[in-house]
Amino acid sequence: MNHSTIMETRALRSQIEGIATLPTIPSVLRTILRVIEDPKISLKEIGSFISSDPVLASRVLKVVNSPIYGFSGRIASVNQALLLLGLNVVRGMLFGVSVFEVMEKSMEGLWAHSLGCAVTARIIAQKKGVEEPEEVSVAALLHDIGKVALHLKFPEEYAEVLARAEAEELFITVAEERHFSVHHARPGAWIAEKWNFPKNLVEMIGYHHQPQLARNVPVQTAIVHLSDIIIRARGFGFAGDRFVPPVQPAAWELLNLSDEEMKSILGEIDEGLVRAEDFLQFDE
Amino acid sequence: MARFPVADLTPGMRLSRAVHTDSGMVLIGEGTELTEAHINRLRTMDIESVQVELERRPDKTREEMLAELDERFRKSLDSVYMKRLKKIFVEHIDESFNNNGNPGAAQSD
Ligand SMILES: [Fe+2]
Ligand SMILES: [Fe+2]
Repeated sequence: MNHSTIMETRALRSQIEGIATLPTIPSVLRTILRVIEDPKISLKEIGSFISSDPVLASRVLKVVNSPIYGFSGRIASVNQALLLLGLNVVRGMLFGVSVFEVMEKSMEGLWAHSLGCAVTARIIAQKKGVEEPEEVSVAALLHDIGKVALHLKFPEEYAEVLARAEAEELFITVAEERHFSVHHARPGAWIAEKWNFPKNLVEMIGYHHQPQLARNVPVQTAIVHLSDIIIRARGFGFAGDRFVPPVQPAAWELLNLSDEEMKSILGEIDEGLVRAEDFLQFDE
Repeated sequence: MARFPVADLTPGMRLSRAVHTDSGMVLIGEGTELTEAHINRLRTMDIESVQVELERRPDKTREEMLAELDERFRKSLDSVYMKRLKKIFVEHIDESFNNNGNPGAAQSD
């Protein structure tokens, strides 16, 4: 990277980090961000905050009972959700449920892509015996948040990038790099860091296209990476381009799934996605 | 579009066809997004199922699915891993057609 690119990237970063103050972010998200940003907030306080807003509470229950987590239909209260999933997961999830409108506005189909990726990641994480599969689900739900950030900050330019990707049959990451000199994973990590997301989550978001660079949670990052590829290959949702990007060999080797395991994963994804269908749109 | 049991409706689902009373009056119009109140009303009536829009994968033939798969993988088949992943997908599609003839056809009209 030459000097001017570093300067450019630095400028881009500070612009992206300023996004919390954008008026286009729904008010509920702004409130949530205030809650998320406070590292000292307790589970109980979050619980009562969520429960005090019926729309938010019903969304949270809908999410925790969705195929993203695999507890389907068994969680009846916000407090139970918090106990089962833990604070970090719920923080990420709150963010996920509140950005879905923005996600859908940034890119039609991005919500479905993210949701499908979360379902896939949970299934693979369970198969691999990862300790906190919910954390991987949340990372997968938010992995493309950088696309939302770029869209929010640079709506016209990002629309051009998308049009370019379509016209020239480029991977979205390549089209983004040509314009911004970085692709969405870095802005995604910047914003996740800025909003005090747990560092594992930041790593998974930041390296979901280069999982071989992950230091703290390499297996989890490889899972998010592979899930993104599988869900595109499955043709579910839209992530900004029409083509499946190649998997990183190191990630594939690290996960080391047999053909039979892969097939059983695909079967479970089909089931999970059928149940996710009525979840693609939220009611107010 | 699919017939959906009234018992399983959830708020936010959208009617793809109006619901009528026995006398033929429109009870809830086509395109209505169902609320809790609508659903409760339907449940107290003698209506078993209604037509709702479901975001489901359009039923496709095996050939259509495979052609789309080819297209999606077009730019990554240099990779041996992607060749293998694609092959797994092809087998998965084949198996789903062998098992139920037409995947996703169960609930649609
Ligand atoms: Fe991505
Ligand atoms: Fe993605």
